[in-house]
Amino acid sequence: MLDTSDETALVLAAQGDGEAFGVLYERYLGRIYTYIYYRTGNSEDAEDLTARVFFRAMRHIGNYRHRGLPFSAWLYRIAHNLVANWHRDNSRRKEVPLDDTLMIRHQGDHPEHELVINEERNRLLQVIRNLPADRQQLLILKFVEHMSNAQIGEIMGRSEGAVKSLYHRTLLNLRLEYEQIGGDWHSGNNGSDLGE
Amino acid sequence: MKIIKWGQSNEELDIAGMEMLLQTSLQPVEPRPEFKRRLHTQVIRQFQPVQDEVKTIKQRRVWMVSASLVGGVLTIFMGVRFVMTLIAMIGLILQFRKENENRQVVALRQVR
Repeated sequence: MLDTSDETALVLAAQGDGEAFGVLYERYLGRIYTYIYYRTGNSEDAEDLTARVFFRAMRHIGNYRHRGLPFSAWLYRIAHNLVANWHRDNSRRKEVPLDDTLMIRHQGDHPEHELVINEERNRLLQVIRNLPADRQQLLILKFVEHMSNAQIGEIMGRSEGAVKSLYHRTLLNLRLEYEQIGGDWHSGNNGSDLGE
Repeated sequence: MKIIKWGQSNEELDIAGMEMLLQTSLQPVEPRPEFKRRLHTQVIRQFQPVQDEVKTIKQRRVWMVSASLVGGVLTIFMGVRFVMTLIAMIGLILQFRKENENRQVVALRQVR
């Protein structure tokens, strides 16, 4: 059952097969959670919204097939809409520091060095979370999910060219914002410094 | 890891640098195993046969279309009846007036 394609699992799930939906759940939970986690900045809200995404997907799975999108794109759209509502509801946007899960351990590194690296990372993530929603989405899909521009376009409802252009503008904008808060993006050139 | 080529413009270097920084900073995050297990149980337990739900939606649509049709037909019928009643009323009024005029003419002739 675990090696069934998305399409097969979807057909079975639409016919009421809970196990098939469970397969899709196992396959996409981590990705959706990661996406929401980076958009909200804390694990409590990420868990809550992830659960809502899967419940909504469960309820509407019968309508999915008519839309002509990959299942992952559909899930990301649900997640994107829920996160947008979440931001709207939280008029006073919480500036919660990202959890310790992002403190990546570097074996053999000095603790001070590790701390500096994590500070830089958190600073960058803070700048990312201040970007417009579509740009955040683009960066997460590109760097966490390693999706192509065409795949991102499917999720965001844009052409491949539009995604490419938005990506370019986003990176330049991000660099400026990052420099303004004192971030050192040049450290990115030294991959070993950041846990490569 | 991207390789920065010799002779690239500053903008390209900036972008390459940012890409590297993002590659190392944005990494997948694993949800708590407890949350994963709990949600899995909830999702499987609450999973409803979707076909039934679809059928219910279809039935609801059929009911709504039928109710709209009946409502529409009744409205048209009422409208037609209203127009007919209005015409009949006008007819009666006109007839009443004509009879009145006739009576007055007869009365005048009798007076003369």
